Amino acid sequence: MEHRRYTHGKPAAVRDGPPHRVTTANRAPCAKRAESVPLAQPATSHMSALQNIEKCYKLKRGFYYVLQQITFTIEQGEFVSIMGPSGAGKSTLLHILGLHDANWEGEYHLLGHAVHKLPPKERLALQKKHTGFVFQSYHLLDDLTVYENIELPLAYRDVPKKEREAIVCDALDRFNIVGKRDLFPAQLSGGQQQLVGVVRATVAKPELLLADEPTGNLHSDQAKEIMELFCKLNAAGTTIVQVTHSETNAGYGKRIIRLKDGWLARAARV
Amino acid sequence: MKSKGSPGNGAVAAAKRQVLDSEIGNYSTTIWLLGAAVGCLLLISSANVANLLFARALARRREIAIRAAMGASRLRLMTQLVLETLFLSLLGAVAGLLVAFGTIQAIKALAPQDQYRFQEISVDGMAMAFVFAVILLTSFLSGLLPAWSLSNTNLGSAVKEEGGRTGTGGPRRQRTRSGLVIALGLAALPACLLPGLRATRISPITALRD
Repeated sequence: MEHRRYTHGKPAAVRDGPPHRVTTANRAPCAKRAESVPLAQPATSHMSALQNIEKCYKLKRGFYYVLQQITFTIEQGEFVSIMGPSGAGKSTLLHILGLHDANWEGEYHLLGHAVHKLPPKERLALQKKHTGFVFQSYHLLDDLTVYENIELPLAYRDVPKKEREAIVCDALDRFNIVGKRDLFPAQLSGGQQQLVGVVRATVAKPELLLADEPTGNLHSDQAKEIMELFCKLNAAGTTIVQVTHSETNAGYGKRIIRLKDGWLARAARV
Repeated sequence: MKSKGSPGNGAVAAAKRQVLDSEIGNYSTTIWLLGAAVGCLLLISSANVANLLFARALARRREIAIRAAMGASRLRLMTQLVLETLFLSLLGAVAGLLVAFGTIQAIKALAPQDQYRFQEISVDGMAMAFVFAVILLTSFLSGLLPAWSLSNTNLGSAVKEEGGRTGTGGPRRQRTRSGLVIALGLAALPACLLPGLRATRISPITALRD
């Protein structure tokens, strides 16, 4: 129920939790295992460790909570799916994991770096070095060719032009899209655009790949291709966190984290 | 050496002023009002151009958000936007100056040749410097604002907003646009009033002549 997410007090005053919140006693064993990791001294084997992450918006009625007391860890090399109904806070959580959002409370460690203590410049450096992001609506730049779109993250990482050329050509070859290099996004199908989106997100070789409903706009066959590509990337060592509404797509991952009304509902091994 | 009986410098100056007053004295207030009206017109144009550039930059919010999500720093985004708007503004300024030169030549050709000092009218360096200063300021602000406003919001919501999940711009964007429209209206008000003032000043003279 939506009214549970409002409070008139200060954000820190809300700690009771809603009636549906799953306690440690009735959680699935795997969920208990996942959430009982002590986070005071973050282990570097964790890709991401979140503790009591909360995000709220100040509205006229009070504070509206998008996320409340989110605590879990993601190990290196994991493939995690975040699921839940619309408005549960999945994308918000993903953007926090991807360091796109700095307005939240709690503790977040990414590869041992205390993100919550970092100034914006260092967060950007961390984001550039370790994360890649795939969007639901592809979000390719319309006036750039496939080649230029893929080159973009490397240019922002100050990779020299010759080196960029070699990396992009290698990526185009690996993902079988050499023939599309000079086409513009509007000249590609949805599946091809998302493939370019995945190549762009992985071209700088990030350790953590985040995908926000990557197959949301795709036909089931194209979705299958993208998910199989994710499996290959995961097998090669990339940690993947995806937001999805599809149980089938979530099945490609190793663990599902479920959110409801901004709260962590439960986690389960696939 | 000054000859006895010849008028002194002061007298010459007074005589010059008298001639000048007789030629343009009646028009000085009108010229000042005209200058003020032109200034307001420049303000309106600047606000209009700023509005257009700002709208263009806002339309590119999605692109800016994506670039930021790909790792572009705030400084890099600002530099890109300011340089792009500056380039467009300078193109506009050069085109405007060419039109101004051409128009002045045409007016001079059409005006009566015996009109006092009319043929001396031109676009001087001061006017050009002023116009370029206004253009620099306008393009700098209109390029800087969108990048700055985006860097203060979270990228997640910016990308979502521009990705078609919300139908209209956020309240902050609406406020900025409203502000620009209000500024445009405020600048237009004196421009509307000044020709009226000019008309009321001229009308008694015209009446006397009649």
